Amino acid sequence: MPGGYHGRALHVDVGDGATRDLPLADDVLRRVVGGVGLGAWLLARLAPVGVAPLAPEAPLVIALSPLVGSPLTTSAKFAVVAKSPLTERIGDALASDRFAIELKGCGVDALVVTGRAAAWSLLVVDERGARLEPAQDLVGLSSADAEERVRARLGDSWRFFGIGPAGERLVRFATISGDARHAGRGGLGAVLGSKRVKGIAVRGARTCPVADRERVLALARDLSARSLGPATAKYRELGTVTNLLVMNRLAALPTRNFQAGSFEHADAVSGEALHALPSVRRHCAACTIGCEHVFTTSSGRAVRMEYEGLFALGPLCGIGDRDVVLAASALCDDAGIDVISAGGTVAFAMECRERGLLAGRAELADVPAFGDGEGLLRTLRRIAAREAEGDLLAEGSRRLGDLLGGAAPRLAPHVKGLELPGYDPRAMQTLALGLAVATRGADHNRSSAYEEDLRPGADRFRADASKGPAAAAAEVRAAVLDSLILCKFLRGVFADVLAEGAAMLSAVTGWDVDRAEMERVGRRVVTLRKLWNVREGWTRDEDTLPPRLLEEPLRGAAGDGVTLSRGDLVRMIASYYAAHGWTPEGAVPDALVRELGLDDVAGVEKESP
Amino acid sequence: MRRGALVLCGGRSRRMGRDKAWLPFGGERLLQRVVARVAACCDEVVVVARPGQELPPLPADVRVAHDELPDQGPLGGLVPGLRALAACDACFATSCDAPFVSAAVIDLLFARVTDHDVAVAESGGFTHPLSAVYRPHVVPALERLLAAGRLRPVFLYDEVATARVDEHALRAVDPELDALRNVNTPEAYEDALARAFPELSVELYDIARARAGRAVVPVRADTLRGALLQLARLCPALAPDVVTADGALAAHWRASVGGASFVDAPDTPLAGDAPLIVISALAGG
Ligand code: SF4
Repeated sequence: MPGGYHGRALHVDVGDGATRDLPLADDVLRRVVGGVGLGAWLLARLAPVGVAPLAPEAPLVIALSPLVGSPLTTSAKFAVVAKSPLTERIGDALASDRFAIELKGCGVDALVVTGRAAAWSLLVVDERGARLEPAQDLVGLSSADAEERVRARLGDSWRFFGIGPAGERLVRFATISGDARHAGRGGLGAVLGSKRVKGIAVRGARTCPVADRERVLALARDLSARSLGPATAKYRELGTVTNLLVMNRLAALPTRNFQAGSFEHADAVSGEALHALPSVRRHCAACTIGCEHVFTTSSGRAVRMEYEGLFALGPLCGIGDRDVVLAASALCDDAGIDVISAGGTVAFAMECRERGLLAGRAELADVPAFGDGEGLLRTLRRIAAREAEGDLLAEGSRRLGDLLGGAAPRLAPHVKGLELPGYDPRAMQTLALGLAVATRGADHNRSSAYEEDLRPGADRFRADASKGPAAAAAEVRAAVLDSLILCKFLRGVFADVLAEGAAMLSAVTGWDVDRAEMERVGRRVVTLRKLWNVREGWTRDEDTLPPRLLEEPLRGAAGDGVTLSRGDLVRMIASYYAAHGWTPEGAVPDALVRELGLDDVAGVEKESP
Repeated sequence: MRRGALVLCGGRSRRMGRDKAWLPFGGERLLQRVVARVAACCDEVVVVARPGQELPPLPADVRVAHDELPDQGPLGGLVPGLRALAACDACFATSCDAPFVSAAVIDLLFARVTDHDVAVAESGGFTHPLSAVYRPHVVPALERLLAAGRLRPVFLYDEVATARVDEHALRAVDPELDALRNVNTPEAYEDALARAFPELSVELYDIARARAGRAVVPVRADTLRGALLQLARLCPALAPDVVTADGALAAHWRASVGGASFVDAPDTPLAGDAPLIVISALAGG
């Protein structure tokens, strides 16, 4: 067995409590490594074709990586992978916590959950295996409160990863969280909720030796030292909240449901305004950087805040009151809902109200207006409880738009059903491409393509064919980081993430992985997710952006009047497909499936020797 | 006539509080600027520095002579400079703190030295020994005066054939007498910057703002490098993580003119109407 792996996944059917071992062969592990790669591979192998995301047989995969438990900074991470109830495409989210280390200590590289428990349960996993415990007493609690109670019951050395009330009620953008860190996007909390599992408790101490301990230590020391340099200073000193004023200045700050790219009250809800409050910095487990800034509100509540929550619950909803945004973020944390989708869906409903598109819908009568802070908080509470307008908004902006019909769907701020993050695509047109094509929907973390938009000499307001290769390469790098798994905030630290990733993987596993192989892993993981989406019904039309972004010019000082036409987007997408070696229609040719060694998940016959 | 030029930069810059040779001026250091301006109208350039003085990079054909007896006033610096330029017929002498030294004034002084040993600019009743042209053969006279401790330039002018170029003649080619302007104090430096360059705003974001302690820094510059040099000077806390001391953006930092596209060419032109925006390249969440 290569270092860093146990060579097995544990599959638990929570319907009957049965568990089984899934052996993971060396060649599979070498192909997909871990994290989102391994998670996608297990999903492809185990999910019935066309499975409903909230059906008992839909698997929820928690995938670790060979680096988990190593001294490499930021490596205590895991991927959660399932069919997303929001997009009905692949949903993969990352979380960071000691949970990863404890789960690995249970002697597994991944945990797969299927079935539906007869009553609310806690899934308890340790070195001996998995069992279900009743969890009726945890129902209705936030994940943080449930975590406290579970650790009080089982012992402090246990780690917990679970859902809040929104996940229990199958809100389509519910999160799963542990130690205040959420696997946030795509509604994976609803998948766990659909299995009537409130959370997963893990503890394990089984070791998993690495191949070359000295080398791993040397690489870890070097990486830790670099992680404290200028490339991460921004995250350490201010956190991502400081992006708000930057995006505002670049006319990229989505405001009032993408009606503008800058917000007149940006200063009031800026990261700088937040930093006027008392704050503390926190670290994920095994992280030297510590990018999390937790602010104490005037009411004494500690709220962790990131740019994505700040933009989505602030400018996107027209809210210019720092205290409201903090309260809204705390509410989302407690409910266990994704701040981006929550803000995006509410902002969409607000615009529908503004345009009279809710007329005659009694159940949506309380949708607040832009800027109505009290209304925002009320609606968020109702989403978590699935009450009144909250019940429809809990379905996400795409379904709400479809229900309203008429002019509404063109304003719904989503790609494939996943709400857009905090970057107006018209103001960052390489990122626009990344958002349009990402397999999990409008997602910035699977491509991080905004770096290309900020490159000197690149024209961020122009869509051209050079953006396809840039976005494809950014996806490959992100897929490598998400499979290894290392934090994206290290990306500025690496001179060449593929080469350095190969060195780390080699030292841990004992394989002789070079840069080219690492790049192939990235391409394989990107294509694997795409193949799975194709299997689940993906069509070319899904790779697009909300119509309003392709029909209306950007509004906001630095980018006023900038447009991104449908034709421009289509041309960029064609160059992106070509860069990945896909057909002009975005399909993956059989030859590429074979070249990437994805025959076993794509239903493509291996060529006879 | 083979023209030499010598640029004295070994002064102590006491009133300025820092070495004037290194003061940023546009995209250059003050010494680089003065050297470039005299090189444009002279055949050979020598910089006279203190022994051990660190100088900004200079063109390969510019020689450096050392003033072995510093603190002797301008006459002391002329000796090693004129010795190094012995092959020239006459040499224009200036100092590195004269940012507006101009070909017009230099040409005028060379035109007046023809049958003299020295041609020196004069205005407001003062002679300007570092706006003057000297024949190399005055070196023995200079050495005698220095040995006698007679350091005032006027002693030389009394001893050798000196043409005094009066204010009227100077103003004919340099109406504001800019070429005679020295930057001896921080105020004079700011004033010179203001004469040379438009004011423009540098907007700082994220940790640049936090470290500088302000959101907007007005600078005088007309190129990216000029603006960044001023930024580094005005906000020392930004070096080296945001701007390097020699006027480049550090890795992971980006600059945009007016907020559209991002630029990194040092000579990118800047105008007062579009602010320079400095942001971190790691802009994503
Ligand atoms: S940099 Fe931030 S998100 Fe990344 S591992 Fe460290 S604390 Fe967690």
